[in-house]
Amino acid sequence: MNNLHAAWQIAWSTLRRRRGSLLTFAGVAAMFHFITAVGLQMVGGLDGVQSMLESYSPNIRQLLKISPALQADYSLRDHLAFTWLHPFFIGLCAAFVVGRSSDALAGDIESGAVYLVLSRPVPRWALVLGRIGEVGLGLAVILLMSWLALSIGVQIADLGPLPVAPYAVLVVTAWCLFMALSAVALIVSSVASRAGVAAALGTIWTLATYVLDVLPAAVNSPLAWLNPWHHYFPPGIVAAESIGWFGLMILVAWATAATIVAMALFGRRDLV
Amino acid sequence: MNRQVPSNSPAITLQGLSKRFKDVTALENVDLEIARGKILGFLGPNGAGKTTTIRILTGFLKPDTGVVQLLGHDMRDPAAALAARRQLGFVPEIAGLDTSATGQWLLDHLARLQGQAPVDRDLLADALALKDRDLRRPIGRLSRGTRQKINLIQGLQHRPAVLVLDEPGEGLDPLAKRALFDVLGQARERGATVFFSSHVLGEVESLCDDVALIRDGRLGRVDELDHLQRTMQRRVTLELAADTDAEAQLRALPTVSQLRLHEHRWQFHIAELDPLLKLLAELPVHDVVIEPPSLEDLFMQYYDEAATTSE
Repeated sequence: MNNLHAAWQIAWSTLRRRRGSLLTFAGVAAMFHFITAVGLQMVGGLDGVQSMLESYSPNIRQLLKISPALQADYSLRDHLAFTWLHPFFIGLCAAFVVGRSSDALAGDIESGAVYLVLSRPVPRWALVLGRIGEVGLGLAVILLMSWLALSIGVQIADLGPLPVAPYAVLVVTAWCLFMALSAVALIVSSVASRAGVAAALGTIWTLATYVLDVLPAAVNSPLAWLNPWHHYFPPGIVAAESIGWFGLMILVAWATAATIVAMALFGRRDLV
Repeated sequence: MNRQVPSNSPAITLQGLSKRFKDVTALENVDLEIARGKILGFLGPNGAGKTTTIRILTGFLKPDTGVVQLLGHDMRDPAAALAARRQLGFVPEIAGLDTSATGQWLLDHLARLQGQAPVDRDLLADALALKDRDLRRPIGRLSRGTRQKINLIQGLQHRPAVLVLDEPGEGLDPLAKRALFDVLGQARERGATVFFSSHVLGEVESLCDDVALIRDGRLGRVDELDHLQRTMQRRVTLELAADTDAEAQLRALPTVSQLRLHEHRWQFHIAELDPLLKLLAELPVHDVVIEPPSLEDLFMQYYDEAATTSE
């Protein structure tokens, strides 16, 4: 069997076997976006949302990345895009990618399943590639279902058509962001022997980078562009209506480099 | 790169194998060679180094020093190890199964990764009395014995040339264990090499051509089972006519040990039979029982010798 084919086989088979939990994640994410659109009038429309945001303390608004300018000129477009930055949604996506990445290698070692796969003519790098591939496919399902649910919700609530191009860019950027986070979690997973430890460290990495992206000192630092979250601000992406190539390249570089590092580390370690 | 290896190379070669985990020496200078078509039982108590040896042999662990070859392929070289694994069937300890998968999914998935048709799956399922409905249930809901049957089938279903099994009898009932030994015997008949670890001596005794004893990471003895049994001590129980004092004569026999009189019967161990038989011809014997050594005897004898040597 071709090694890339083996990686694809691992990705596809694992995705199919875990489709139950994947559809749960995707269903919850889709429901969230649907409710956000159809429920807008129930919370008093944009005015209602705006007064809710005003009730938050400045620190909370900063943590949620609601800038004074955004708050002052809060439009329907901003509201729909903001659902992609809502703590519930990004927490859900982060939980999916970090959980799957942690379980991918460290979990396989912990359960012993890794010995069954790697006693076959399958190189270790193909296992790593297959597992990150499974995360990527699953994440794509979650994001596409979210986009679809938001489009349907917007139609039902008669909020006007959802522009296709900006949201396509948003979905691609979100996919790259969470793949970057996932690949770094995979590095941890490639050297750990317990899924719990890998998940804890992966979560710390995800939270730390998010918090760094709201701290003024870090945001204004010349190295702020290195932070994956720095390139993901949905209201800005939708407003720009074009691809932010630099940010996308940084995210792709994070995902690619971290996957290669995970392959190298996993390829050299003892599987105890 | 040419990965061809001579077809007459041993199935398994371990030379000067050593492995340490931090301060613990797991293996020390292990040498072992298994010819093609043989069944070797790898015996040792828990923690002796059996699983570490198997994981090095299958390429999961890298040895600190030494040579590891499977069918002539150097298992330290990733590309050569891939070539070797095309002909390998590996049965890890029972914990190696993903409990959320069904047996059917797991067997299909692993067969695809092996790149070979699971030609013996149905045959093995029949032999091990594994039901279709058990294959369709998540492995986590199956009994330990049924999980172990699935574990065995995944390792054997593609008819490999070399089988490496880590405690394969664990969790199996006596009938399934018998079926497993029949399957392994059939594998040997078609020319496969079988390397299996166990701490259950009876399993090895009923199946193996050769045995290797390991303790504290050191390989103590590798021998043909028949030869080992011939050269190791037999257990003798001897009843003589009343008032016969034969203690001095028995004690003078070469290789005699553990001589004692218990309820008018002499009991002792002896390796050389000829002098004993000559002596028995001269004595008024009422009854004599000469038992071949069980593997348990061999095992204990080896460890006694090892302990004496180390003292």
